[in-house]
Amino acid sequence: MLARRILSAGGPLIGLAILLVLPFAVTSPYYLHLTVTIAIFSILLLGLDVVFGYTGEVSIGHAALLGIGAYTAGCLAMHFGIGFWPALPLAIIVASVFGVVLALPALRVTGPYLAMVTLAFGTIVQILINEMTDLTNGPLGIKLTTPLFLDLRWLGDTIPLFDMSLKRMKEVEYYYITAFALVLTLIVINRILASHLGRAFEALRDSPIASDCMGVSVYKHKVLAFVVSAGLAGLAGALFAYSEQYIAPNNFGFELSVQFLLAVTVGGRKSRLGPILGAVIIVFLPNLLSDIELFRYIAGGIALIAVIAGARAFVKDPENRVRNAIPVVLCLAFFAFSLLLQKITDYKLAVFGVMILFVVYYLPEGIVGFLKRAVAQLWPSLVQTHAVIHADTHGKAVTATHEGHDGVLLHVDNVVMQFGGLRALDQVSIEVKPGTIHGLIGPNGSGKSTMMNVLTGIYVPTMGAVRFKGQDMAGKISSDIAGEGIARTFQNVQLFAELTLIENVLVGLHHTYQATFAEVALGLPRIRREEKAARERAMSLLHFVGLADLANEEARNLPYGKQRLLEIARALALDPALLLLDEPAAGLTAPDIKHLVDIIKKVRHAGLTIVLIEHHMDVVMGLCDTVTVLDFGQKIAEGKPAQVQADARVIEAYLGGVATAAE
Amino acid sequence: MNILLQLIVSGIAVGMIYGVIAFSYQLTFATSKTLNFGQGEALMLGALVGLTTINFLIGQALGTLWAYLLMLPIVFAFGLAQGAVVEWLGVRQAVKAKSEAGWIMATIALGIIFRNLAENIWGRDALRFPSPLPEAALTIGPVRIQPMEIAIVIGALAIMLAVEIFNRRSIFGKAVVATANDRDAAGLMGIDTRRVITFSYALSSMTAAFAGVLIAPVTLTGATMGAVLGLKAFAVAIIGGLSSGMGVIVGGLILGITETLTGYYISTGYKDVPGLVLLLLVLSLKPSGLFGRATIKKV
Amino acid sequence: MLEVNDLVAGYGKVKVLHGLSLKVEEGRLVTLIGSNGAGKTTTLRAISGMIAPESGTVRLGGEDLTGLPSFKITKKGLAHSPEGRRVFPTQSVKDNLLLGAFPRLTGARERGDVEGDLDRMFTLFPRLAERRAQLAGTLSGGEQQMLAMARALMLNPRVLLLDEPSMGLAPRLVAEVFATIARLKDEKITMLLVEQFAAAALEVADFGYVLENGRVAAKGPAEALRNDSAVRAAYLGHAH
Repeated sequence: MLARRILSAGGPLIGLAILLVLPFAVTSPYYLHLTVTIAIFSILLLGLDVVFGYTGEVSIGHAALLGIGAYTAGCLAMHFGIGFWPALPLAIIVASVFGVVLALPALRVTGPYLAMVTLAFGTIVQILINEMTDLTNGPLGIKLTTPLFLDLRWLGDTIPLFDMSLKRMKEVEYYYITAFALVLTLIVINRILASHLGRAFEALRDSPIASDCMGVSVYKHKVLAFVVSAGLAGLAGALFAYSEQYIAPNNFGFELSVQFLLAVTVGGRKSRLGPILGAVIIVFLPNLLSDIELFRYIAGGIALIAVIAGARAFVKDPENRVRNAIPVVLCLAFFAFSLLLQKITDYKLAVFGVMILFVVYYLPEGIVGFLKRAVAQLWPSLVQTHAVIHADTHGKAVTATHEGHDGVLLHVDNVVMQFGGLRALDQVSIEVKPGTIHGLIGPNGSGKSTMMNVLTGIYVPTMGAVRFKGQDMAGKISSDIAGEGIARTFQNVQLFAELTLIENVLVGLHHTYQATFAEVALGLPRIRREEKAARERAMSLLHFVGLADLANEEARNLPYGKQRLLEIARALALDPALLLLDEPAAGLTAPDIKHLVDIIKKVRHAGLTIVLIEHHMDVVMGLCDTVTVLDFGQKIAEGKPAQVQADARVIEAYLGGVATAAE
Repeated sequence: MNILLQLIVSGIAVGMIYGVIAFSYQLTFATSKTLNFGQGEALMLGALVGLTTINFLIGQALGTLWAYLLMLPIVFAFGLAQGAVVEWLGVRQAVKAKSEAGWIMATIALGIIFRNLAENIWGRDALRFPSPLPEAALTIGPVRIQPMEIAIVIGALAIMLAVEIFNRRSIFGKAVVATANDRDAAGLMGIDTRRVITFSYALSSMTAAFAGVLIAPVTLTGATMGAVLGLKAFAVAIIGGLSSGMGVIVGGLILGITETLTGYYISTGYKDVPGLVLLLLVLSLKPSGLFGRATIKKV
Repeated sequence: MLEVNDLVAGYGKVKVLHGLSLKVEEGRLVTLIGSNGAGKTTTLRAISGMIAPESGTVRLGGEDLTGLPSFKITKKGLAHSPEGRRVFPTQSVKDNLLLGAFPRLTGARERGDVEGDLDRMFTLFPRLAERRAQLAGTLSGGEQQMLAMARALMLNPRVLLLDEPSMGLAPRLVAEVFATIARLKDEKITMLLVEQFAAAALEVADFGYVLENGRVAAKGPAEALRNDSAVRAAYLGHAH
């Protein structure tokens, strides 16, 4: 525990110290320049990690964003004589605007589609830079001069200037400026990712549908992630332009984008150290690959390690000998290849490709992830993948007010849901009274889950109306409906698997944050206050469902029964007036079910209204005030549980054939 | 008016090439929901292997046309093998390693490796591919057209038709369609769906390799010829819808013609832009493609 | 013919079956009933290899099939008509049936008379004969169910698993489906039938198992189960 504290406080300090003394250690101008490039790429990669690591989208367009930043600086200098300092914020702004453009298709598509979109974006940008010669000087590129340390030319020539203003920056000074930018980036990124915004990024990756149903708009936050990422790429671009002092279109091509992806993957996603390590690797890679001797030594070293590891696996894991032998053979082949090779520069890209394959197969978590796992095996107490959140419980976990809305909270009026030729819901009308538990039952395929999806805006009904608190809900999007006070759980659990329990509940509390993006980035008092309040509230909600002890566990490590309870806690965090439970008891053991029933009773007691879909009839009959029975999308019965249980049509629907046979 | 007609006719041939590559994307996407981000390199390798083969055959005192026809089976066989390698090294292993988006990065990496190897084997300069047909343009009414352009249209239609017939008529083709329809249910029929997916990658690369030797005689051949073609063909696959066979032909023609028009009326430097902009627009507005059907999302 | 012992299976962390055993003897029709979520479909999926069981064994005619992928199990002669029919929507009715005979057409199982069996299916399901060239996706729900059953039969299976053939069908069609199952039983086809409609299933079956929470809650000859209050309780809850 103490060791971890020292590590987590000491890490940044050590990093800062390294950044400060580095120029004293690295005296060769060549290597100092490489160090500057590492710092610049680190800024970009930290931004790329927001998109790639946190929201889980592959971007093959970040080299283009870097190019946009660089060309913003270049064009400003070439056409308007605007210097280094103003170029930095302007590059951020211009690149952010392009980030919005890049994110627009993200509303509709994800995964490979979005990857191709970013690739197309990168190609277009490169073509435009090449072709718009009036603006960008085309393939000839732009030359830049070393920036002035303090640009006071705008004050006019007559003012007597102190020497500083005309002094051009030395490489060391430029190094400190980029290092400062890097530190600033780290601070801002850390704040964003630790805030409700960072949790939203991860939530939308793990389950977009659940995010929307928690009132966290997937689209809005995806755009935000791209904008943050693009802004940092823009900053890196402007720094890059002045560091290289010459930019040309083919500096910013497809291969560089792929290198950036490799860097984040190799270093380790979802960490601050990972992207920086990745930057070191991709900057030194070309140097490494230009020195054949060094390359042979490294290939030999890798082969040696592989042989040792392979020998160990050969003894310890006799079942997978063939499988484990493959990487060893490949590493040996790689070493042989390095010995045969005469001119390494010709095969630079192939080696680079092999590296990507190696990382994808054997290092999917990157170096940082790998080290974390290794350390966790030796000293488990040292490693914590998530920030541990301690909070006192505070106030009542669940509160609800139900004003009388003509005695009806939710009014489903003649809803029809048509999928092609199938009528999943056929003129169903339901009235849910405030403060009651309303059961919705029926055989498989009778339309219950469809109804749930209509109520939460995932489907738009073909006909009919849904009124909640007297307001029309049909056609509203999921995140807005959640905001109105309808929360739900899911039949097939939709937790944010890689977030901890308390973070899951905090996503549900997203609506309690008022702080703006700027406040988050600057760490102003309001966001701190809100975060503290939300954590306390989240803790009390976990208490409410009996999961407080596990607050800092990852949700995916929970047993199934507890996952269902966590979904309820997360839904309650929305402060809903109406809670929709979709088969909460499915797959639970008998004691779990009893616990669940107790919690549902407590929720009702707190004043919430509940719609319950459930197949465990004992649960339905024991809890519900009113039960509606669906069959083939139609309402076939409604009434008190005992009434429904005895209804001939219900028995027919459930048992089929001869209704009386079972008695 | 005549110029416009001429431009449209010229756009058709290149459009059909886009259509064929887009079709090759569909083949793997249908069965595995993945695709080869290095598909352009499959095309490039097909063209370069074809070039070496045809030069060898011409060296054996064969006529260009005969050499070209004899070359085709070798290119096909090479394409099949290359596709199987991509599936095995790039897709299956990456999916097995459970690394997120791993197959995307792995197929990109394979594409980079193939391109680099091609540069080292065939050099960095663009090479001329001997044309099997006379290069003198035919004059039909107001437009002039190269015989090879007609061959491209015929060849493109022929390969799509051949795959279509295989899928509809043979039991193995039906097994491929079944896997595309519903992988689990196909397994219940006794179909080894993993093998079907490897096969669809092989077929996909073969189709791309064929596209490579179709287009090679009318353009320059070289290690970098594939990248932009692959990307634009993806645009066509998106515009046409990843599930619609007619869609890729129409999408390919739209893109091919737009490009020749842009090249003539604006500037050749910009001719790659409209396709990519169209890709961004279609994905932003109607991601299932102009001809694809929207799917219902399930919870 | 089919023997399942101590089967434990589920999806990821979620265990659905907690040690389930059952037996289907040759030429018999056994039914597996129980409410939704009891584990009926999971049982069939674990038997046919759609999911890999965590422990326990599945034997077909004495041969151990546990853990094999579904395509290999099918080649051994076990046909599974899955929940939700899962016909191939873009292929014709006839092609769907031919795909059912895939192992026979490709030499993995004895070929026999595929053409003759096609004709037999068209006599057994006359509605399919009328629509043989139509795409399966355009069939009605009832017709798709017929097609799914016929497709599974095209394997000439040693055992046929039927998963909720009545699901989502109108009552008239449900009766038709059960009449067909009765005819198959007369042909001495070994079947394991999963049904939600307990009464109807016990009407046609020889033997029944009642599932509750992934375990066998009751078993016995069908006529005995028909009058068992445990069956009703499993569906509609215990009386309050």
